[in-house]
Amino acid sequence: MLGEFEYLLISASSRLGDEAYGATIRIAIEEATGSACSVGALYTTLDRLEQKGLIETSMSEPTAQRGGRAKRLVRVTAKGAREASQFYRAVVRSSRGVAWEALPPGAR
Amino acid sequence: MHFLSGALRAEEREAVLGDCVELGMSSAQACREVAGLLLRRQFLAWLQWRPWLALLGLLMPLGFTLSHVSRHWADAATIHVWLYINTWTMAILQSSGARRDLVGVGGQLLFHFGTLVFWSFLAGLAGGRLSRGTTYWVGAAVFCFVVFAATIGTTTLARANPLNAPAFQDPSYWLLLPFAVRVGFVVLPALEGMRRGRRPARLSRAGWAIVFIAVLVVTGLAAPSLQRSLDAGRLASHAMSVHDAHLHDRVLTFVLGPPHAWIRRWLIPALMVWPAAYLVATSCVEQWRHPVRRTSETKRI
Repeated sequence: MLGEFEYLLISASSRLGDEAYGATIRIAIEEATGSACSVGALYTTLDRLEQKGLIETSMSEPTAQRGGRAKRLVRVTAKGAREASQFYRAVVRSSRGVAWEALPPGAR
Repeated sequence: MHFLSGALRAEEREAVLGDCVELGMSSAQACREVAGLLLRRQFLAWLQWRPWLALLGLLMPLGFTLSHVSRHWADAATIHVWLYINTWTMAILQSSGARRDLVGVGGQLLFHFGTLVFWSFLAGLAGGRLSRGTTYWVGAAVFCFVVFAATIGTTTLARANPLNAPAFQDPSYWLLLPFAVRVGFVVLPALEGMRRGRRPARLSRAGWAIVFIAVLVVTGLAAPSLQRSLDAGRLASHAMSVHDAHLHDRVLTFVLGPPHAWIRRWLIPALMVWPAAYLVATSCVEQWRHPVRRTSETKRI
């Protein structure tokens, strides 16, 4: 089964669609978790997911916004979507009847 | 920043530096992020068995042995070179016996230093093939350190012999020559071998067979001198005889047995041959799995 960070990365990539690459995925994960996401963790996880066949990456054209450097675009594969769905269902099932289900968003 | 990012693959460097620019990171923050990525990659790489086998099973033991044998052969060269330089006359070339001795000494030196290059290149090639990727630099650094540090606190029988004192008084002979031999005939060939080992280069089966037979022959011829380099080439700094064993030599004796034990006589030559054996075996397996017709794109070693 997927790890927690792997799930966050796949779900962020899926939500971002064609705009899923390092910087945007990082912002999405930081917004979702409220914690900083390091470049090291992001790129090593991208490599691991690609080796497992859960995502595919490709290099885009360079852009002036990025100082003339290309982006590493991320696309979730069918296998990655199945694994993410499995992880989500497992979390939902295991969370039923648990007290923190009733906590309002942002509560600690 | 550019020094750190230079350790990344080209495409990854593009993507990571572009992300840092897009996210508006300062130089210090970007350096921290790239350093963090490099450290994570090193950590993950060292979770595999290959880098450990390359480091502990190949680069360190071979570095140790090559350090001693290169110093032993450099010391042998010192005595001959010092004698010829200090006693040279044209009569040496006019005498057939002296000429024969000169050719013999020259041939011996050529064989010794050529053998060092051969062993070191193959060790580097096998080490680079095993530790492909991010662990290459650590393996190379450790190999270089072991080659230069393995003989610290020891001396050789040649140096301990008071009759050789005139030769070894000059720092050019006892310090510079062994250093130059290690750099020129051990470290540089090994690093070149490691650099080439990172690429998926192929040699034909016949080529590898020739390499393997050559290393067997060369190691067989050099085996007695190889053994002597660890027996008489590794004495305590204050030692005056082979029997005056340093603590490290007691450890060597405990691990490998006394100097004339069969395991010691066979294990050390086998150690020099195993990089070639590994390269031949992996090449045969690769060619069996992926038979490829030789094309212009296939790189040669």
